[in-house]
Amino acid sequence: MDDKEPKLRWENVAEPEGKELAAWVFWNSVPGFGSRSFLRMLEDYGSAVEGLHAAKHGGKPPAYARRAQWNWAGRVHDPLCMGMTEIAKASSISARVIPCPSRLYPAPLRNIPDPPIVLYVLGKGELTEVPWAAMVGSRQATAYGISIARRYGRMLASAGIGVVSGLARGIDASAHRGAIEGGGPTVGVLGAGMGDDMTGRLKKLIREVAACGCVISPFPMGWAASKDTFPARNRIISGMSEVCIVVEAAEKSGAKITADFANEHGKDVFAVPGDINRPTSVGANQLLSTHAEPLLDIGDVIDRIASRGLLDRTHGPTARISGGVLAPVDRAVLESLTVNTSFERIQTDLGLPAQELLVSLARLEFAGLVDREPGMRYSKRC
Amino acid sequence: MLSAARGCALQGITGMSVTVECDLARGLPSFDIVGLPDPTVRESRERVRAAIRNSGYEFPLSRITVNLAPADVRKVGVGLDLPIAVSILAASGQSPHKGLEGITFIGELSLEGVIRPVRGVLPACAGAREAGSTVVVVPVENAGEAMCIPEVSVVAVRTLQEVVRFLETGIVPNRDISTKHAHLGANLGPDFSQVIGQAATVRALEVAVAGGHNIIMVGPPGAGKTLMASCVPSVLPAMDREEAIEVTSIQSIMGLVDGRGLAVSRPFRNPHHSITPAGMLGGGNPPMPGEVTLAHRGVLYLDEYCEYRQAVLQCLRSPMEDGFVVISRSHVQVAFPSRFMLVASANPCPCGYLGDSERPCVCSGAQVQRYRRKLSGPVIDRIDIQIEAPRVSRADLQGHSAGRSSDKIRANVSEARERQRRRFGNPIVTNSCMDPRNIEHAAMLSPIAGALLYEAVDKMALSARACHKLIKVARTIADLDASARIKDDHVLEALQYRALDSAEIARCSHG
Repeated sequence: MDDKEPKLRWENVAEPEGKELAAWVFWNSVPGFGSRSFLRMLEDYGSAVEGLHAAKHGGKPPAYARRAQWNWAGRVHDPLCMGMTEIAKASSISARVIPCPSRLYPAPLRNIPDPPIVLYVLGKGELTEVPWAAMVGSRQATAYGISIARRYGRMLASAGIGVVSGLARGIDASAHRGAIEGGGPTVGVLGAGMGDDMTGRLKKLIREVAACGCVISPFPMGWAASKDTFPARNRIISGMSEVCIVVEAAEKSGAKITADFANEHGKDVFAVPGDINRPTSVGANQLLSTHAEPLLDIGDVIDRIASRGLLDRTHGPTARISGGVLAPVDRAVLESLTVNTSFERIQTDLGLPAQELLVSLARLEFAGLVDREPGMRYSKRC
Repeated sequence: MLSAARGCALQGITGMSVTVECDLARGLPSFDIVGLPDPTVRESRERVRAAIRNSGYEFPLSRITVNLAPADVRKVGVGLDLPIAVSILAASGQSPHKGLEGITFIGELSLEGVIRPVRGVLPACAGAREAGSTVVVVPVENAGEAMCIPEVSVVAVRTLQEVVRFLETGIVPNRDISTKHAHLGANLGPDFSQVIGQAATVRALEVAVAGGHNIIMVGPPGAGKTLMASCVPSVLPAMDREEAIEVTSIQSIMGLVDGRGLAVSRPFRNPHHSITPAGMLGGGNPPMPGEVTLAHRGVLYLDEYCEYRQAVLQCLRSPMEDGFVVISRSHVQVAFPSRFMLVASANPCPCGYLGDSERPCVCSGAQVQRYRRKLSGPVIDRIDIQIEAPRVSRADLQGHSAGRSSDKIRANVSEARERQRRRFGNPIVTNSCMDPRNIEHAAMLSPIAGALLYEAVDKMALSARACHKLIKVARTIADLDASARIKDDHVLEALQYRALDSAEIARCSHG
């Protein structure tokens, strides 16, 4: 098996329909048969259906396919029917199958070396209407990371940038939820096929994300998650995004893998600096010392994307909520707040009785000026 | 020969007057007790026989029948030893059998004729008074409790001979019974001034105690939840006489009275989380009170709420709702009172660090979900105040002065309770018992607070029950503020005490 680059480009491939699409879906499900092999097969045989016929006739496999893959494809009794069934299964959970040449396929993803041949897409959102930013991080996140992810997710979304993440708990879930709060689209990339067994909490998150954006998967329906599917997912997260933001990552983590892919794909990588003593920050800080830029203000990311002319500025950041007619005590409380400030800190700074401070914080929260975070912590909303 | 003396048996926490009749007849010597005695009463035959002989009297050699009337109720307890002995002595002419009608005898006999203390003397004396007795003869150790009942004169005795002497001469043995407490409010445990920081939680506890609201504190290990809970007794308002009698009656049945009469401090019970449903609600045959009853008019503290068995938590629902527990046995159905304030504490997740700013939570999503399931449901629904108690970092504590002292908080609480008493016209009704029906009217919401409340309900999609909780808590905050109407500030503060209803922590980090 050789490793030559295909001459055919995705831009020159027509969007498949009907039987051809079924053949595409089938080839996507052949384990290890990537899009480079697929393109070379299209070069050789003109279409995926013809490729299937060739495999059926047996004989020596072409240079770009492994014998096992080629023989497996040839042995399947009715591959087109299998592809059709796959498409029917997807539409039964109201998911769509989008092939790589489609105009609905995210363009940045098409440009990475080995994009998925087809994507399964669930949800009413579109993948091409906004630029995307990946936001990834640890599952075992601290309140610091969670509040940053949520806040930045919200700010990106309200600036018109979609948030891509991996639907895991911790940072990923907070990034999705932040984006939903910001009213923007968000994409969750699954590390398994749709319809695979999943926990109740994942189902709930998928529902929420699909209602406000899309959930996508490159894997065939019902494909089980394994240790290989998650790096593949991370590659898609980084591939479809303009920039990649790492919020909190331990020394060995999927977030770092995503950042490495982003680096490979030539995307800008940002990392949120963390406490150097905390194990959950080690990975993010290491990235800072190698190839990531420190993320100190999410406005930098928004400006970077806007400077590429990708941002439809009509979205713009939502108007800053002004502290119009605030009582002096509320104003003082608001001023003493930054991000994730603890109740004790504010109280020590201002010397207010607990009940007055509670009332003031409730009033500010009610007016939408302040967010309450877990553990009696408060952040100023911007 | 025939005679009758009065005794008392317990049914639940009420005393029931029992007439002990004794008949001596000719025939083969025998000694029978009839009238549904339980084994402890039946065994009293042997104690009575020995006590009478060893006190220097003669045990009659005839056919003795003792009847306990009313005959259809099961009699339990050792307190009937004394009336049985007195009725036998009276029937055999060794002590006067006239004038026994107005006297109730309570006490256990030892073989040598010494009278031993028994449990449940206070409710027994109350029962005796209901039945028309004016004099109670009780063991000297129990005299303190017996004196809590007005309108009965107490005769404290040590031996059977003293009882007979009293019946013959009418001279009451002179005993020095101290019913004075060394110092009111002594040994109330830790004081809130020992708590550094956590002002929000302390404030929430103040509101909870002022309105009799149930409260749960959610926070990581080491936040000081247990310390703060153990400070709660130091701010509980004083009991009035009626409440004190209820509490002492329950303690009397369990044998927990310290001999100095009425209880002065409200009970504070903290059962370990390995407790069984029977231990919590009460049980056994005869039925005995459980922790919910022992915490009546006081505080039931459940540390590590989620560690309790699901069955135990489920069974808390009806005592919290009704204010009493009914325990049914084949012969008897007993209602124990259970009006307590629930103080609970819980970790936010099994490892305890969910939402912590320093340490990551290492629990899996499923673990957290399983855990949080215990933090919802019927009992949590009835907890009005839910507050987060985060770990306080040392940096945040710098320059922090000590909190308010328990005495100050207690003064506020007492004033708020007084206002509630005037409003409801009933000393033992608090804001937490407000009926949901016309609560908005009864709570006296000001129009602006009402508007704010409904906006909050719409914004946060609160259920009707959550809305009622808010109103009740806001009412208590208004009482603490000496305000006749609920103002918007009171509603705003109440909105801060809903840490679990919003459950932001779990939502955000665990999908």
